[in-house]
Amino acid sequence: MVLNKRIFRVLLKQKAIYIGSIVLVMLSSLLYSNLNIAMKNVEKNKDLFLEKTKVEDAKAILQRPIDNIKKLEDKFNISIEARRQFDANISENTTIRVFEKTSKVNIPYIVEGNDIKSMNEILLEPNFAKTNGYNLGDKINILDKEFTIVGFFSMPDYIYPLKSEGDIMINYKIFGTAIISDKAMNEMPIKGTVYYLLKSHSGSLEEIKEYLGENHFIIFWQEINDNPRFSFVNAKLMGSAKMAIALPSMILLLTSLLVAVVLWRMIKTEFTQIGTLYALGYSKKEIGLHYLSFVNIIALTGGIIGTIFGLFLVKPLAEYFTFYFNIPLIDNSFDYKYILGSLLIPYIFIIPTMLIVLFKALRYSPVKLMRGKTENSKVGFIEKSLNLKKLRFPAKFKIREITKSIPRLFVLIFGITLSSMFLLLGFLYRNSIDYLLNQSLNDVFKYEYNYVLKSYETSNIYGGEEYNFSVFKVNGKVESFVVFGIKPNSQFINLIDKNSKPISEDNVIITKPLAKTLKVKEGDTIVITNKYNNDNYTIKIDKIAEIYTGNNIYMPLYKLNNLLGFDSNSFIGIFSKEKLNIPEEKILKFETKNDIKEAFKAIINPLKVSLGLVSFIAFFIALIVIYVVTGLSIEENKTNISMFKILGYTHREINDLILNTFTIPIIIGFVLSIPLLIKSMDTLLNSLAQNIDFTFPLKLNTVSIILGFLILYITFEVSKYFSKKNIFKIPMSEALKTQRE
Amino acid sequence: MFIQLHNVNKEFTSGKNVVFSLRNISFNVNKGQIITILGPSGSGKSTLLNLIGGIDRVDSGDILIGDMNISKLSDKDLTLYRRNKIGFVFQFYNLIPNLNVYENVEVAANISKNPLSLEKVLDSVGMLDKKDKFPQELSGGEQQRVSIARALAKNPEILLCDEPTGALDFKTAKEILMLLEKINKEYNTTIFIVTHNTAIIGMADRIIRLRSGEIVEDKINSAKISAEGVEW
Repeated sequence: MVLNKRIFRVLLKQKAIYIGSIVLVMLSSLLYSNLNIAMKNVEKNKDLFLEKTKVEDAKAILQRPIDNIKKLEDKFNISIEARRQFDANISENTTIRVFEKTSKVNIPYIVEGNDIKSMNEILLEPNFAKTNGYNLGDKINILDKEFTIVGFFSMPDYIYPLKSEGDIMINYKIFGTAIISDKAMNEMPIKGTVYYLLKSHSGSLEEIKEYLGENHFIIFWQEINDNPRFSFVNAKLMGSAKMAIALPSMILLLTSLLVAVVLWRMIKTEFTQIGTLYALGYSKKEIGLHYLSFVNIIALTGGIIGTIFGLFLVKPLAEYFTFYFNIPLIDNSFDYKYILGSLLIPYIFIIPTMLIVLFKALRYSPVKLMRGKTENSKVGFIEKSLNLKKLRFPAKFKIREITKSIPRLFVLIFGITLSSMFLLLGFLYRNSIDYLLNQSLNDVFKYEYNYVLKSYETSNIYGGEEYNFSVFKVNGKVESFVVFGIKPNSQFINLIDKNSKPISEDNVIITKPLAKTLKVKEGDTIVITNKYNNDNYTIKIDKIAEIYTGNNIYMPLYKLNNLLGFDSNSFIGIFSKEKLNIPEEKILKFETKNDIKEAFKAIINPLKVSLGLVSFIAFFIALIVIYVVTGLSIEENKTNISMFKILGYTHREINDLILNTFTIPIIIGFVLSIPLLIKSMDTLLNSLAQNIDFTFPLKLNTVSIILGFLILYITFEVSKYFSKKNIFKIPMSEALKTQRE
Repeated sequence: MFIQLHNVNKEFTSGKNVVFSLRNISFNVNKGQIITILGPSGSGKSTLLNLIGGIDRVDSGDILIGDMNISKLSDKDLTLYRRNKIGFVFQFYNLIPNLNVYENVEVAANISKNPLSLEKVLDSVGMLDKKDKFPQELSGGEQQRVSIARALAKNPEILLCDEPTGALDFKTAKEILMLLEKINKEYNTTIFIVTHNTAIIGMADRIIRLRSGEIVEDKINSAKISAEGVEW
């Protein structure tokens, strides 16, 4: 069609507006293809890896060891393997957890190098090795024994290698894992902790658990999905998968609205042409197809470029995730479904909005179109009802301009809200972590050292403050949480209520994240089931503690012991301010507050890049939206601007009238973004709360809000700078031209 | 003399050819006169108006308004000149559609040092009772009245009207001419009217006729009639 020859001429004439739209489509396609394909790759590799390495179903620490593993394996149709582990310091701040090599369950997967063949060989976790500068063939000294690093490995129960289960983030600088042979383990100066890895072939663990409970006494029982070193990966992948859909969808929605507004403006200015084409005998379909070509170019160009960039970035993103999770990239392939999706989704979003705009225009008769008069020429209800008499002229003009096009106003506010949400996301994360760090570590938990013993004791000869704990579940609601028994008037746990008032430890206190998941209020009674023996207990919740880490319940030590039928002085853990002199063989787990602090701090670092990227995207979206909307406004006001020049308005006065018009909507968009961000993040975190045992205290402080606004304001100024040039270019003859039409 | 033009030349290029839009134009105008500029399309009428109005620059020659040579003014000073001394009336009104009548007039008053009372101006053009209406709700004649009120609100010394009645029917056009005459008398405003319509020359003090960028006739109208008597 000869008409289509003008498409590129029109695009070139208003290139900034169309390039802006194409960039937005590109961004969404890039994010969609990249996030989804990388995510699928990681998930696929995770499944493949878990299958190859025969991941455990549960692990158990028993008071009485199992003598005849083979017999139990046959009886319960299960694989059982004992594994030993110990922690050793290899430098002042770095701990390495050394495991004994297994061959039936949780078999290490060699990522690089070779498997261990002799006693003085060792396998290291690759990210720990990389972070701390260990290469294959290097020597490493552990408890005065020298090992040669022969390979790097991944292990399924440590794909997210947290030092302590209470940690949230990994820190390869201070913690890593290693594997040595069983013979080497026998030769080590400390015995380490022994536990059993269980993999059921029938799918059920109930019978073996009951048997072990009765005959071997379970000290610790953890099913794989309750293991944060495993389940965090699922939570993170789930979170990322949701973002992979939500992020591009929001940007595409914004783009389609923006494109619709741009094209509606274009069609409106071309009513006379459309009417003439009608009169010449062109059909609605032909005219419609012509205008759809503009959308096609935007969607296709943006889609193709975005998808190509997205595909290029799949490997780095997958590597970033696998680095994070310690999952080997066994198979790196593209899922074509998402490539196709990435190309088609822009159409799915943009075409319907465009069709609505087209139908709106094409229903007018040729005569009406040729006259350029439609019902839009009528004065709108809003314009009529505004009473601006008491305002000064510039304010009147700006309000009239804002209310002139409600769709345009909506796109601007929506765009600013969306980009402000992205912009504030980084600040929200940082403030929340800071708050969490200060609140949890400094205000609530006053201990410096936390010891967990291998068996229950009744008399504390070591010092510090003893406590007990056991793991429970609430059927159908929460798979796993810890009930702590702590000393009344505890020196080391300082629980506070929502008014920051201390709660007496005589109460049964539930942490906020758990209360939220269980939907309990103060005074409610709940039935909890012990994970070790399936016994049910009824407890009344007295208070809810304003604390964000841990799916926990705290109650007086004697109360928990009475509940479990233990001696009222029984304990398995000790909090302390100083390092205690407890024999190594008695310690199951040992953590310092410094470790937790380090782990918290480590949250910020890996996020810096991704949050920086999100902020950059936010800056870009805001810039494009403001520039395009301002561009539309300039385009619509061409004659008026020319008029202003003739009347004697200076450039500064015209810039103020035209460009500062959108200051108020931009502020509204920014203000709206704050509650919307907190609400949407809260919803996202709530949907993930089943898998992770902490809630983020979503905090956004005033300084961050001001900083966020400053960035947005700078974006606005940059956009204004470009727009000023366009205003400057409009000649005074523009108004005179209208005379000649 | 209030306005003096000395050897004003203005040329423009059409393809590879240089075409004179105005050639050696010289004339003087006294304050408070009504001047009609006549001539066929392309004779340079609008260009002349644009040069006097300071929205275009001469290639050579001088235009003096009082003591001020506007051909030598910087862009900034030229803006101030337009702001303080000039009022424009266009054939197609050029009103801002989303501003009501009052606000459209306020556009000009907003930047003026000594604006006239907007109510008074609107009253004098007969639009006070329609000050809350929007341009789309007005007839062509009413829109032109608003356009004149906008030009007047700045209290300009010179009113430049480019085909002010070109888009109007006879009755409305005559009303507009009467309004211009009234303004001329009331405010002693110097008014230039560019027109194709030879009948309008009857109400002018001075008649300047252009052809191909040159003045072919410049005469005082010794038989001036009131606008009411203009017929075509």
